[in-house]
Amino acid sequence: MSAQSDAHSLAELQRDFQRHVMHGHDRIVDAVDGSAAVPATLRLSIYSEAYRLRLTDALASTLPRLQQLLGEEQFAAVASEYIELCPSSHPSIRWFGDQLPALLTKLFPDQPWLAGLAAWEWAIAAAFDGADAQAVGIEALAAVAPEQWPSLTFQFHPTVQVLAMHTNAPLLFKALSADEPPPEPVALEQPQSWLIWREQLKTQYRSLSPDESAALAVMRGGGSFEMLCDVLCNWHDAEAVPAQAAGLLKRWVVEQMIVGVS
Amino acid sequence: MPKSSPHPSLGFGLGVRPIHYDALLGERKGSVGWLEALTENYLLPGGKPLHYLERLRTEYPIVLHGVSLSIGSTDPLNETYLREVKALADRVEPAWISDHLCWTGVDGVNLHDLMPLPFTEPTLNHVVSRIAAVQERLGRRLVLENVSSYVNFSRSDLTEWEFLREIAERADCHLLLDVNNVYVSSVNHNFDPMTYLRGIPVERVQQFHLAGHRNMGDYLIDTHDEPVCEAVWELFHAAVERFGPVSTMIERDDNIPELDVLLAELARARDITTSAQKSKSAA
Ligand SMILES: [Fe+2]
Repeated sequence: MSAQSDAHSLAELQRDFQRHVMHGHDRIVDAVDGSAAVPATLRLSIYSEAYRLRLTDALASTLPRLQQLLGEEQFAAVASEYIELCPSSHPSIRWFGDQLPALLTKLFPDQPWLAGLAAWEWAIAAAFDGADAQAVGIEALAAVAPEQWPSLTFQFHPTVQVLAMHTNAPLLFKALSADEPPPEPVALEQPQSWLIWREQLKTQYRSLSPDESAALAVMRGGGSFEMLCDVLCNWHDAEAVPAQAAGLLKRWVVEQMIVGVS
Repeated sequence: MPKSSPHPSLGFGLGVRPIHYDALLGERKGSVGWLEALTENYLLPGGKPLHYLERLRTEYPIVLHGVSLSIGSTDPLNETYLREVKALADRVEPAWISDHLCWTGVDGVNLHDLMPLPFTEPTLNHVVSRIAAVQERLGRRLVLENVSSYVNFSRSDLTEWEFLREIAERADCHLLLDVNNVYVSSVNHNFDPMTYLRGIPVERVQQFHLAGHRNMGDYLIDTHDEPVCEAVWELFHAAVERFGPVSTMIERDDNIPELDVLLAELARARDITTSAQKSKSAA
């Protein structure tokens, strides 16, 4: 056999085996030796079962509260549908599950909090092992000369995320994480903004008022302190705005969300 | 790369798992000789896992053990993955990098499982050329582990140990001999595990794995969720007699007990090593 057809034949064997593991195709059965006690099909089933089990466990470990809310049985059913639709292509199993919120939206159109909770837990996980950056201390603000303030911009920690949640999924998450009975899942009339970030090694989250949410959007987009004041004018009297703006900045610094001032 | 003998033994270590981070850095600091970290669990932008790995590496020699190299796959090598592993290695400075002699998927899919290869000359040629490419990308010699398997391909015309020996010698790489995997496969494929050990070239073995498996009656499954069993301890004794003192560690991935339980198991590995070396020098 030529080297090319050898490689082709190994490729075919692997493809057949993979098709068996993923979809139950049985062309590989003929390529495998069985024994009286352990026939080829039983041997092959060890791989197919381990495949589903491992991926289901991976989803459960990234989305433990979703599993709690759905219950193990229903979670396993969702996982098995997901495994069928979206096989992993990542070297690390940690990234398996990124499309699960979309599947949940399709499977449970009347329970939008399920997709919401999956998206929320995915975002929490992203903050947990997201990039590191050194937060600035409050003295970084004190060092700024008054004439520099209007044009001042701020760099945010790479783990900062703002999520517009259309359900009370974060509250479900909070209760389930604390081993408390979760509130009644509900869809919201108006989306609620939530902030997720990591403070040192600790993943944090809190809800955002509309003014802080708008302020964060401007500032994370590279807006200046002056632009921060402008946007806050939509919520506050002009004379109260500078103090409001300074208060927000101070809070972000204290919460270790700011990694640069320039 | 100059041809070199295996890394001198680091002694007795453990596969590091997050629930043991604090104990290994605190009340049980220095309780093991080295740690094996699972490569893919640290291919991350930042956060807690990398923070702890950085701290652990100041206290212990670290080796990186991967599961997604897919050295036997007929897909092209994943260059992005190799770059990420290289970057992690530059940061962590492991004593060595290991992965498994298997494939993990084709057509871009990762099955996240250690899939068996047919033991044939064409497979040898394919795998040996890929090992050369990976060793060049990583700028170091690879250490490859024998996997537990449940199927044997009719087309295989070499034994597993012949295949392993040919891989190591032709690719000039080292071997991670998983004693439990030898045992599991010996039961599943009905061969003598001692013949297997005798077929492995002494100067190629750089590391031992010990682990537990599940007995299904007619076959065994490699689960890493139980203590090392008696038959595997016996085989380990024989392995130390043959290969001498080699960096030895216990893998536990599920049903993970407190660190002290694993340390007690590791103490047994140490005792067996001492007695195997004595019986060898007496012989
Ligand atoms: Fe192993």
